[in-house]
Amino acid sequence: MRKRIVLAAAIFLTLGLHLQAQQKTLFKPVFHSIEQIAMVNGNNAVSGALQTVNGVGYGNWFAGIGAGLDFYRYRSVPLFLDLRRSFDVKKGNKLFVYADGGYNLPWVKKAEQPVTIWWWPAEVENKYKGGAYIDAGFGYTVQFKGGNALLLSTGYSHKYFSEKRTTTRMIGENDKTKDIQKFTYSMNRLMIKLGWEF
Amino acid sequence: MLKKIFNPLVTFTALALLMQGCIKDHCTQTCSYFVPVYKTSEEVRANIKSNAPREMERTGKLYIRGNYIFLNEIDKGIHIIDNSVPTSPKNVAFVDIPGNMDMAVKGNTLYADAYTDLITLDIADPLNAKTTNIVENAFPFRQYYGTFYADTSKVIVDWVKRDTTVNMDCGNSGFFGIDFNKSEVFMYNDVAGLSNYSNDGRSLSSSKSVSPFGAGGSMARFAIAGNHLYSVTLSDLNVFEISAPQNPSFISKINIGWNIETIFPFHQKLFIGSTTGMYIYGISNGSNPVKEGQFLHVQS
Repeated sequence: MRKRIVLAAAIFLTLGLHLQAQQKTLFKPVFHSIEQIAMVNGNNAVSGALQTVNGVGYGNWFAGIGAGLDFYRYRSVPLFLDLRRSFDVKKGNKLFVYADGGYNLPWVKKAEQPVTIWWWPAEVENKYKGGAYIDAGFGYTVQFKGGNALLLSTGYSHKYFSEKRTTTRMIGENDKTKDIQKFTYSMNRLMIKLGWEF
Repeated sequence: MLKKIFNPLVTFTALALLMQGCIKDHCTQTCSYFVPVYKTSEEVRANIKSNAPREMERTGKLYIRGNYIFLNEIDKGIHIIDNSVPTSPKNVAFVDIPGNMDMAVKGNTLYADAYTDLITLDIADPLNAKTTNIVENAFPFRQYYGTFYADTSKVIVDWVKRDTTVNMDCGNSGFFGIDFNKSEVFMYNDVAGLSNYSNDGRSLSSSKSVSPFGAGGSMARFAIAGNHLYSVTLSDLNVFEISAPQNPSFISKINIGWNIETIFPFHQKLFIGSTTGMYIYGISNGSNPVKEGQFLHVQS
């Protein structure tokens, strides 16, 4: 029994090394950079986004890190890991699926001082906290010479952040009140991206 | 070449538009609001006496008499602290006086405000303090900050904090997050906020109810000189006769000015501080304070 196990292990190991050696001859890791511009469509809101993804392609796989500027409703900076798999179709063109996951850093524009009907002015302090960033979808790659490619993709995207808003108001001459309100922003959108890979 | 790019572009745009119905933003707002706890006047007055001690939460002014410290719990009453061993003071009793912010002591009598009323307490035995007199509507000037209107037939004895989370519009739906007419949006939100939260806003009231946490409440301050108790509101000086300590009587109200903050008796004078200066009143005739001088300074 022990002999059989050792023999099977040896066969698998040999096959594995053989396949690895074969793959090494076929693929080499290649650095790629993908620059994308996106139209972001949400529920009664449309906006845009910019992204750059930089990573390594290996065969039909690609893994990289990405950063962007997302203007949907509230400006934010998503930082994410990108994983994609492509499938050959014709004339070197490819279909691909991708998945991004990471952290959404809010970079909200300073709000205007609220117009208030209070007799006394209010001080408003906004503290933002980031949250999840997810983007997944599929696309089509049009190959050009020199390894360059045009990417068209569409996918579902989610970004989240929260806000703690503290409003301090003078009451009379000496007293203050503090109103603390918490907000969560969970945004689910469709992204249509146009990109260039090199 | 164009066809090569155009076909996939059309396909993906069409797919994206078809999936549009599956997406929805979800934004929430969580805030706290305060709900008043009411009691009848009879219930409140029956309870203005020495009761079991309470934890100190939001303390205000204090008064020292002999071995005892009387410490205000803002809008709730007075802690009685046995200070016979100063290194180890003991919280021994609590007098429930809803709306209390100020007090003054003369001999065995403690005067305290209860919203609009002046309460007189016999504190000969602080562990058995009891009400001896109530002057109603002695301090009619109380404020609420909000579109909150209390039930004036009852007395607010406490406020209960509640948290609530509601869905809200996510806002900033304009292209690239730019909303136009922003000021209008904020104005609307403010007005909505006014009607939702009882601890905001502003109204004037002469009821027996209390302003909620953090509200300005009465600006009354107390001082005793001779046989008179003086108290200042935001604009007036009230004079009470206390030659019979347990039975004070209201004598007069004198208009001083605006934004009065404090009062201090010294050598037949009352020094009355405001945010913009000091008023000096002579009290050689204690029942009829006379203005003798003033000086002004920049707003403090």
